[in-house]
Amino acid sequence: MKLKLLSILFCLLAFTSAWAQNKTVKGTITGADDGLPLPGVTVIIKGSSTGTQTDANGAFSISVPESAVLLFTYIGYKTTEVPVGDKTQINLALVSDARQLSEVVVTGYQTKTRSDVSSAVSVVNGREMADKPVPSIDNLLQGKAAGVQITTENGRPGANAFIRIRGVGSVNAGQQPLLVVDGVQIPDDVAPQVYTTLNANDIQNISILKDAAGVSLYGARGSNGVVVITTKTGVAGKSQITYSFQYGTNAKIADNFKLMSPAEKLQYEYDLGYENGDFTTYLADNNFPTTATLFNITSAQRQAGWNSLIGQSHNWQNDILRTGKIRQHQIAISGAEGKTSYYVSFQKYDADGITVGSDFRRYTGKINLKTDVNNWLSLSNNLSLGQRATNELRDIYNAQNPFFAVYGYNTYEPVYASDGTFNLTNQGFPILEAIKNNPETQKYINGYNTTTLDVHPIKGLNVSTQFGMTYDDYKRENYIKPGSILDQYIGDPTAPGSRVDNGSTEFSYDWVNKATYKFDVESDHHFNILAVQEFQKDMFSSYGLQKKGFVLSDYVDTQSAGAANTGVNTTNKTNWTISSLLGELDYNYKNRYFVTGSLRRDGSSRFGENNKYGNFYSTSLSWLVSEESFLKSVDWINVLKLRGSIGTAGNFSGISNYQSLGLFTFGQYNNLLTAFPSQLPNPDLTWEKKLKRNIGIDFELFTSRVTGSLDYYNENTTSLLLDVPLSQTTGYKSVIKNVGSMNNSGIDAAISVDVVRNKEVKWTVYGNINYNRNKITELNNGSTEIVDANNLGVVKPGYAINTFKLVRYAGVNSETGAAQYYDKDGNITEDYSSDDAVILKGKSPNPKFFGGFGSNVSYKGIDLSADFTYTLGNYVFNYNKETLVAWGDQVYINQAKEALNYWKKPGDKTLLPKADPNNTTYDTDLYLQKASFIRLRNVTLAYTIPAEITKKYKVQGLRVFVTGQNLLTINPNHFFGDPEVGVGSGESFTTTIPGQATLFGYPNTRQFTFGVNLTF
Amino acid sequence: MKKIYIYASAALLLIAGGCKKELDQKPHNAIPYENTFKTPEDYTYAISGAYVALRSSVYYGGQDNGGMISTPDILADNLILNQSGRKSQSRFFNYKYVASNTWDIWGDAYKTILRTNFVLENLNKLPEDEFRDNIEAEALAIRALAHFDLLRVYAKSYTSATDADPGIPFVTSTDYTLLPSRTPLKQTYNLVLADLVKAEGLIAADNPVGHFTKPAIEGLLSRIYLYMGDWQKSADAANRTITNVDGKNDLADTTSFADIWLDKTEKDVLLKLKNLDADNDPIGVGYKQGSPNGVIPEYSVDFAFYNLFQDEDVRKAAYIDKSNYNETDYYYVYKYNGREAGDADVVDVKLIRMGEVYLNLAEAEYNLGKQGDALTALNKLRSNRYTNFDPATANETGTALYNAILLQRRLELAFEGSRFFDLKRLNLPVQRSNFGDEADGAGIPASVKTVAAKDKLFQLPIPQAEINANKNISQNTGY
Repeated sequence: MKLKLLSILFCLLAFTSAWAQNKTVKGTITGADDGLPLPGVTVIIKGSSTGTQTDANGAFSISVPESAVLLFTYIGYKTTEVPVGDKTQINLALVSDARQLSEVVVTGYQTKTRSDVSSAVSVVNGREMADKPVPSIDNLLQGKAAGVQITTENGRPGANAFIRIRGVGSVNAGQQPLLVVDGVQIPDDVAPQVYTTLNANDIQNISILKDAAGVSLYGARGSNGVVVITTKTGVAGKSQITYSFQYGTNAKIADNFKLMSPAEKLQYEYDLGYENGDFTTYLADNNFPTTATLFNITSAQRQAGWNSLIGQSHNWQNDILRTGKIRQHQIAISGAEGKTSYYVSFQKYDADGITVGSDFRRYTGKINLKTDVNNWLSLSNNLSLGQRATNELRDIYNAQNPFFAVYGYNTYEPVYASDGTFNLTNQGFPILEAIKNNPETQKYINGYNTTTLDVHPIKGLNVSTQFGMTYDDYKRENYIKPGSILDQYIGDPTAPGSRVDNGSTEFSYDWVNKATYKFDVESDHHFNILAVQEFQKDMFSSYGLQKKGFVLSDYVDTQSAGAANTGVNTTNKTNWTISSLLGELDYNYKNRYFVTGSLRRDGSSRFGENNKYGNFYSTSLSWLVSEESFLKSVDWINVLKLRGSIGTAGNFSGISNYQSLGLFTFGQYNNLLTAFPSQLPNPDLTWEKKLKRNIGIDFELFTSRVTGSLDYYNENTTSLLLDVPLSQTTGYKSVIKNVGSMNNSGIDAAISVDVVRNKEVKWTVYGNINYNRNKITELNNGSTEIVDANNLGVVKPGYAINTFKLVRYAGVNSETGAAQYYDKDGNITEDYSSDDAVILKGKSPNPKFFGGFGSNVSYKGIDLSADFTYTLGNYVFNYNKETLVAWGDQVYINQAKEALNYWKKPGDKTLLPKADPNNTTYDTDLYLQKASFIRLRNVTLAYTIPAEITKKYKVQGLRVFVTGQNLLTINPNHFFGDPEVGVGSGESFTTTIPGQATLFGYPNTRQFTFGVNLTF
Repeated sequence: MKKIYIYASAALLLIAGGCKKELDQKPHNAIPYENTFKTPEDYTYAISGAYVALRSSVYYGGQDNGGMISTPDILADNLILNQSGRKSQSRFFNYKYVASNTWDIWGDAYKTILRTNFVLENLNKLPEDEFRDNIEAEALAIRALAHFDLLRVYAKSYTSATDADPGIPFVTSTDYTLLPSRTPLKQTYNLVLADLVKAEGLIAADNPVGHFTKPAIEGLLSRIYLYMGDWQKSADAANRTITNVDGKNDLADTTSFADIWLDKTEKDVLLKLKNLDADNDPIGVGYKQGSPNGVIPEYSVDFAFYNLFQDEDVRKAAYIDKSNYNETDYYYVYKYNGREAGDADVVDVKLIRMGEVYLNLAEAEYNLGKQGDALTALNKLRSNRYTNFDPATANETGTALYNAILLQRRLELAFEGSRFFDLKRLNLPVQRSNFGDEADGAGIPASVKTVAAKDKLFQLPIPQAEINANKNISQNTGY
């Protein structure tokens, strides 16, 4: 055994080794349909793992014994066998296979081909995600798979995305799909880190399981869908060294609105009776008497003062924002030697944000190894580890957030005061000082390792044990330097400066023992049986440290350098476990009729005593119609497949650890221990249940030029985990119970068309769309609605989740200039009352349609691709607009030009009421906007230098490319600002409902990069 | 080969067996209900937990979403909304509260009550001794205080109520399935008194700072009887307080008065809630916030009210300071500015003080017709507040005496959450001045200047969440 391991290591070091050889066979492989050379075709000697791959020109060269038979395999093409005999030249045109049917689908427990599965699965090829200037994989999935809605949090480098598969599937429990990487089930709270730490260029394939036939395999964790990522492995043939380099810029997308000019703003202030501090200072500096104000001086004097302020005005975006840089270096080595294959990569990825204090630095490494110990035993190990360090900004609704400051500061307020210190501005806070003196850093070390021992003693039988580990280490440091402005606000003057260190470590292991047996009964009955026993345990621990009282220094910044303990140092530990049994049976008759059934039993520490175990099932059927004799003759139909599935899955993420127990927790009073009831006992607590139904059709037409699929689904979530309000006289506000239900139904469609496909040109267009209808069907007995914590929307039977509930704005009384509202009953009133809020049916953050489309053209070595993404019919509450187009109460900060459109005299018909600093710009539907958009997410233009040239320099392939990200946005509803909205404000909102509202979040950015891929 | 399968199956079974045990996980930072109240210390921890509940987020520890030390002053005539502040609590200042957006001490007070009821329900596990008596007394006193606060906020004044008027649910159980209805108002007061009277008999002679003591319970009794207009009992309770108070907590004099607010002395303080930096509750932020440009007040001290403080009144400097923020002067509440060392705006919360007890006594004696005793009590206070106090001139009688008592009460208890409740119990209107928020009275005045006596606004609406969850709760009239 030891020797085997050593040999693996040796193989890693040795890229080539000798092989007993008789003669050399050369040749070129092309595609039969277009005659283009096929690079990357695997050429192996049948019965061995010895072989090579074709180069960029489809050429190969291999040393073989005469008796050998060569096997040519390439995805999307029929595998072809050629006996060598006396040939020294083999030129082959591979015939394309029905592309869909040969596509690899990974369920996480098994790898199947598309033809064998009856479920709704979207597959995204690793190539589609490579070399993009976006470091998180979840974002890269956007627009790539039908029914998979990706909403990026914001434009922060390394931001995660919200993934919703076929609508929002829960109210309070998790809504993200389960992530499975190389067979390891990643704990839900670690998944975002894995998406951001894993190197997208290492990905082979992502299968997204959407319906019951896919997700029921994951039982209590599958209801939101499953994202299964498979990373690259070495392929037989000569080892390959790839070096990639990318460099680019990162900048804010320009606003689609204009702020007031300094002159307009000063006039606006004057009209509203507000004298700003800079004008007061001007009066004092210019020897006006102390009684002089903006309003009692002559208009010439006033204009002179204004001119002085206009003279010092500037654009804060230029002072606060910058153009960031993106740099990426990667090296990957892969290949196979004898019985061992390997894939090793290293990447360094750096991205600067669009302001100082916002950076992303990442190192990732990967080793995937597999070796056949002997003919009945193989061992593989996949390891991936990454470290990323970021500088973070505050995501809050005030000038501590640079993206509020760029709008909130008035243009006439200088950056620096006359004494050279930072000007506090009317906001009382200089963000440029804070970015320097109040740094926040976050560091993650994140990775997984999985070791699999696979025994395959007889044909068709595999017994394996797989031990997967996930590790996530998080450290956050927030330092408020002594004497910094923020310290002067919130610090202790007797112990200046303060610092918070907090973090967590999460380790989870996932031990999967499984057996698969594939056998045929007679020649027409094909069986595949899977049996799994699995156990996963997650261990989480965290800490928090605080100190105050520091010296002023550029280097001293550790807890031990602080003076006073603030006494809120904490640690915490929690564990959860899940234990499962799973069986799955695939049967097909004549490769035409397919039946699959699965059964899973889960037990979890999170479930209440009375509901410790749950059972989940699915069945699916499919019929490959195109294999029937009556369709065989229809030559424009290559594939036609009908399928249907039904089954159940659960969602245990909404239950926190120990939530079913009645608990007393501890605190302190005057530094002494306290104990108090913190949680009601809840022994019935269990997972949310989802019944999923799906019917679909897959097709491939006109010599596979048109491929696509169409699915209809209907998903019922029941036993929703909801906070059932209690009478507060009990001392509790609510208790979580399994009550309520909701339904998602809709259609997913995807199509891809090869418009031109010949020797010279290949042009493909693709598109996908999802239409989803979400409806809450039941809340707990009798409860009518749940208002979300941000007080914007409701969860109410008969309406889509989070449908907005707002007071309706009724325009301006043209005689008085007063704002008017509709009361509950539709009568016009001038008294605003939050009790008059009504549900705005059909207006919710949920889109009616979303998806992506794009095009790829290649001509000789030139390759141009464009990917669009779109979201239609969703509504967003626009707090940015409410703040910048306010009713006079925001006169202290800068305003958009639109704010000038207010009532000035009787008879005026305006949208905004009489502006007055004492107004309140209430939350009304005036600021609720439709936020449909179509965005050109990515454009890549690449050129592959002809191999004849590069070969002279011993380079196998050289590809240069430029990409542009977010180059164009279509905003049909004139949404104020960027219509692509994720998190409004991480700190100022009570709860995060993706796409619900804007509030000066990190803007989305535009990137331009230049890159090179070199293959040796 | 077959052997391998046998071994493998055996191994799988073993693993499956081991996993079952792993499905039972216990928390590391909490204990299950059944493991509580095992030792006497557990009762001490639980009582401390009840004091912490009093300091909850919109209750005595409240800042800008409502709090016992600021909201009752904002609801009255002591303060005026500062236009430079964050306009927190403006719905109280402008009387714009509705059931969906009310002052929600409801949840915080009942949370406190739950914690006391857990102690009381488990009391019989303790041996009958002084320790148990003291625990019971503290639990009863905290429970009474919380119920009394609920009455002050959500129910009518005792003196304006009929026998049918609803109070608030008087809760004595930890059963979370109950849906109690509102106990009649007068009955609720009687239940509160019963708890306190029992506690007075059981409480230990000495308890640590931050806990109820016998004089603290008696002081609270004198306040509650005063609210009920039961003058004799109020005077009796006040006199018992004065008799029983420990020297270290007796009335502060003019030299030690300012130290009360820096937590440098326990003088004058009968009951306080300890509030340390580590508790992360800067209670003073409800009134003002420091900034490099000067203090930003949330509320300015009303100019008319400010002028009622004489320069010789030690309370003036202890309670109020002047800020110059963005070139404008404001008078702001300095009372909760913080200790001499430590985080800004963090100080202990004072609930019952000797100053109030003397004022309770004075008012009660006056109403009993004993003007001489009333004046004695009043002058005891005034002589300890004014550096130029002259007994020769401090000799009011009749209405002048009554007004002097009420004026001293307003000054003494300013910004301590008493004013609104005092107006309410006396069935008086709110009458605000015409002054603005600036130090010279300029600026924007209050938009609502008067609230008529016994107006519905004196009873805050019960939170809509409670009405929704508990069909037995009736909303206050007018909401």
